[in-house]
Amino acid sequence: MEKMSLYFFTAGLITVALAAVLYLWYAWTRQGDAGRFATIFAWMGVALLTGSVITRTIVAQRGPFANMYEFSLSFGWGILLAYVVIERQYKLRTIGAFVVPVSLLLLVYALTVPSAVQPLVPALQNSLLLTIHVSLAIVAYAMVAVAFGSAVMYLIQEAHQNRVSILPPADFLDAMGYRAVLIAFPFIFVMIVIGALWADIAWGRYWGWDPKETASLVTWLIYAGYLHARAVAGWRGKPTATLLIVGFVATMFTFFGVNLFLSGLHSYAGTG
Amino acid sequence: MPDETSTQERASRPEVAPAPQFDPLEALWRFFTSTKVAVVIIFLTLVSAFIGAIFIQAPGWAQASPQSYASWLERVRPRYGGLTDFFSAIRLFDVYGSVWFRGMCALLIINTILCTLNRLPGIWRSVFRSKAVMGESFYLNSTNRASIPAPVPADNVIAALRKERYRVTRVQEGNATYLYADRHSWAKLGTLLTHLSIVLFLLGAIFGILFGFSDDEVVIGEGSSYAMTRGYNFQVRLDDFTEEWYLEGMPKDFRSDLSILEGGQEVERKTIRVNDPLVYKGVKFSQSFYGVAPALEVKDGQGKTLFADILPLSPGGRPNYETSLLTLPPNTTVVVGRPAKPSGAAAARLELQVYNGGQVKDQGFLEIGKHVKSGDLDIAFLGDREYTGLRVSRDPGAGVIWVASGLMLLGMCSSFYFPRRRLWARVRPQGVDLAAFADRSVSIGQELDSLAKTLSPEGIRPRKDMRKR
Repeated sequence: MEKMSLYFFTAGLITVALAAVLYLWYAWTRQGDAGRFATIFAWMGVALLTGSVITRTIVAQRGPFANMYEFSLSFGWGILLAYVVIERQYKLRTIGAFVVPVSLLLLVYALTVPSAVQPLVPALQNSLLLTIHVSLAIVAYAMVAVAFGSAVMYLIQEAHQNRVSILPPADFLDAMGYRAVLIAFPFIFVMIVIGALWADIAWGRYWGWDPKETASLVTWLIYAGYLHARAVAGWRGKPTATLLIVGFVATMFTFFGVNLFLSGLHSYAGTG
Repeated sequence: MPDETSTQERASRPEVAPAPQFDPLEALWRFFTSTKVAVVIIFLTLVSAFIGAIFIQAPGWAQASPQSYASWLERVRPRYGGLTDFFSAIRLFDVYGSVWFRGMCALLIINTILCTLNRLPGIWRSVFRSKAVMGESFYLNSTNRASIPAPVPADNVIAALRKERYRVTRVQEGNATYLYADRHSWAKLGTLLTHLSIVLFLLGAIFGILFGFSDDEVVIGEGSSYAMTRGYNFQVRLDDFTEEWYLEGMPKDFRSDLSILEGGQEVERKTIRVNDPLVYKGVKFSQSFYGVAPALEVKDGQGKTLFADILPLSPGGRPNYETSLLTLPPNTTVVVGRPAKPSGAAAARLELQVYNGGQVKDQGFLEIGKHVKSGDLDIAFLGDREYTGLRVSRDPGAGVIWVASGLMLLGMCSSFYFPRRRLWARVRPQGVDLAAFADRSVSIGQELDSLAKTLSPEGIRPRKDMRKR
């Protein structure tokens, strides 16, 4: 079963790579066929990664939420799933060129870290909170990736005075990024609160300025800054799109940087 | 928070003329309610929190005494080089305990409270007292507008709006009917809720610091008891400590069998694990760390036991060396030490120094299972024993934190997912003019167009722009 999960993962990785190339190709050449195939591959990728996540869950007898390989797989899957749903909802294909590669990068990263199913260390032995905590993170990170994709497209569109016909209009992209943050922001918040609740049970305090705690708080505050910049200061367009990119970088730092470069209580989630 | 209509509204309100004289209170108020100042404070707090995440923070044991801090500093010196002492002086190794970080947090809170108070009247007005009668320029300049160039009965407009679940206010002026319609107006109060919750977070944290405590490194050897301080009158005994490892070499389980003793009687018993603490009389005992430490027994000349417990060692003395000291009244200090991570012969003996009033009285080695005499003291090394490391804490502010979290979520959900829509209509014999504002997450322009279309009589096309009349 563990092997099967890996086969699903590898097949999913290849499919997502093809989808990413096709989305980029489509954004570049505007060939409708490339776009249609990109969508097909993206859905196949979702199916294969879902297979990998499910088989992994069965073999580990818990959600695939316990080490860097499992996080990367889950987040890559979550981002891809969020993307295909949005593509279907808004009938938008070009955003794929910016979001699907993010998913691909996570999956490629998963390839480089040990994938063996490992038992849970004592701190993680709380299956209910572990599942909720990481599931919230998957949704939040997926939405953050969508906001990032919209922001990058916005900046491109703006630099070309809205004339990049393959991309949605700048106005739409601005609103899209905003809507993604409206979902991501409460999810990040609840993820932090559930984490604090768990820390209170496992470590005896709800907040300890652990690097991971701090980094996720900083990430949340960046998005708080984005929302306030829009609502209170009336910022639109370029400055807010830049904030979304900063927020995405902070998210990636929270995910990778803290585990890889800094030591702390979350370091069990490191490469091992 | 993200009510995006506020800026448009504010633009239409005349600016208040500045006070003629300099008033320090007024200046302070204006400073703290300024958006720019808020952004700067938030940014600085973010940067400082980030600095704390990047720099290694001194652990609890290092902050226990100046000596232990100095020895900890030596350990990180290779990493930070010549800047170590400078970084230490500006508290970069204890960011979250530093005056500047706490000051920054205090500023942020004051700013949050004052900004919220400052916006309160405006929010209140816009929620409960919106004007229905709007002039020509309002309809001409609204971003989202539509007109129907044909007569429509006002009742039809009201019915259509009510069908969309708007709350409608009607004002009649001559032959013109003015309508103001509002949907989810209460959602705007979500902003107040989120900011109130931030203040509650702080109050909960302060309450916890003032009325709670956290002893992060309580060590109890197997068979020994820890007498609670801080006015609690019970003891905690470690009956057994067990560690289990997976075949892969990862830790599987750490558990301590604890008993609570009150007046010598066992009143509670529980096996605690990392995810399963013991709570007794509001005090929480959490499994934190564990280890092995030498157990000593010290007797006086009459054979009375002065000390019989473990002495956990901590780094110090010289590199790769661990020591611990035991103070015995009136003025005797026993220092024991051995190389860090000892094995074989090194583990079987302790280096011993006995001080009396600051003077070295005796020194030498103490073998396992043996005892030595120093003056009338009899010191025995009973061997190594496992110990458990607990965090003993009580946080009466935690409840406030969870309430604040709930309020924050409630506030966010109401202001994010119940976007407020506001719509004005002027119904006159020559036609209907519509204007609307809504949060950016709503496509209010499209909604307005479709409303205009439904209201238009057969054969009349609504216009996006009003013709000057």
